[in-house]
Amino acid sequence: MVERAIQDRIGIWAQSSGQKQEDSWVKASQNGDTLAFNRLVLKWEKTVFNIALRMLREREEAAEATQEIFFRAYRNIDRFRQKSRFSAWIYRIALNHCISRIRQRPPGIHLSLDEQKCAVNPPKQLHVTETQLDQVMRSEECDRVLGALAYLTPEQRAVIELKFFQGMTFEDIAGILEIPLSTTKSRLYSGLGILKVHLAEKT
Amino acid sequence: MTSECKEQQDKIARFLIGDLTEAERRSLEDHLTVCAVCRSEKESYAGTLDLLQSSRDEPVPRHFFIHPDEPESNPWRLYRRMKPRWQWITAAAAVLFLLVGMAAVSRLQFRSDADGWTVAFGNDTRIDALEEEISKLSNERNLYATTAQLLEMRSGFESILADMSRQQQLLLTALELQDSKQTGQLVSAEARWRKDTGEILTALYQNVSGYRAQDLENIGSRFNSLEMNQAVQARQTNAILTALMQESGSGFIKTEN
Repeated sequence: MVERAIQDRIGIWAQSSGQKQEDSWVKASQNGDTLAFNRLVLKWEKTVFNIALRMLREREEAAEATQEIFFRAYRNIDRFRQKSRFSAWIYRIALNHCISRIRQRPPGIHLSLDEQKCAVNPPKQLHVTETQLDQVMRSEECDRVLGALAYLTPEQRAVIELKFFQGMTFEDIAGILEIPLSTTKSRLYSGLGILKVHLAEKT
Repeated sequence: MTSECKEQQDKIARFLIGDLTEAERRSLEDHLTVCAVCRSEKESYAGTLDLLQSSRDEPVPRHFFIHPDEPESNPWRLYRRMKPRWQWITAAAAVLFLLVGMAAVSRLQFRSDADGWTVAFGNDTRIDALEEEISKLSNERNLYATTAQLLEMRSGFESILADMSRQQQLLLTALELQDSKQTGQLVSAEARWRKDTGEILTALYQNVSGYRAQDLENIGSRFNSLEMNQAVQARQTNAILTALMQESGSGFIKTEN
């Protein structure tokens, strides 16, 4: 019990300390410090890349979009207000950029549903270790999720992303996407219904 | 699947996310204990949520650092980086520069004439004269436009007036027609009434005359009968008296008959 309490305290302290550090990087970036901005990039690149990957479902395009998202954030860092969280701000930029990219795709071009999109290094020898097996299974799961996401509209994908992959509340999601709470919920439940059909049938 | 199942299945995703009211949650839990179909649906949703929530982030293929190749040229950002005192000075200088620039541009003149192009600064009397002439022409043009407008309005009014007189004439004709028709009807009605009344009066008079003659005749005959009765009675009285006198032997009573 005592250990748990100490761990919780350390966690809260680390979170608060990390938040302060992030705030100072944002402030420095607003004063033109590119190094500080790149610290923010380093902190958030994995999250942003994965948002782009789940929205766009294509690794190369997701990487390209991630670079554009950070460049757009860098150009607009002056507009960011410290009273909101940097994470919420970067999620909004990322999702809007991905939705805009999807809309700009020429009609008639659909990405394959079965294509392998998640990173995996297939074992070269017959005898595989547990770690390699775990990696292969995770990659398969990732491909299944990306495959099922293909059936959603970009707007449904954005809500699912923020709720399940970023663990945000309905109110925060509505604020980030600038849509009413009722719309947020209806997009989530309709999207979830579609995902259930496509994920359950392969289980 | 029953209608209750359909209703309850709509709540399963909300149940798993914790977005149900206490009453809804209890109702769904009760239903799940008795319905295998809905339990299976719940398992299916739970599996989907597990898969989504257990999904881990992929590693990045590379880093996405920003490399500003060009020197910072955004004036707004340069301004923001200045100390507050310099920000005030820069703002004042910018406003002054803008005012002077606007004044200079308003006085700057580009002219083309027979000698070619001329650039000058300040007022040009030729421009003033031209402006005056333009203003005069513009006033005249406005006057013409106003006159034309007034004339147009007048013709419009005239046509409306003509229309009105035509309508009035038509109305008068219709009224006269109506009047003559009604007068004719009145005359014929009066004549008919006169005739009817005369006939009724004549008939009434004849009836009354008939009744009167009959009444007079009745009265005459009554009088006659009365006279005759009286004469008979007088005769009888005389006879009685004569008889009485004869009976008594005195002769001082004499009948006149």
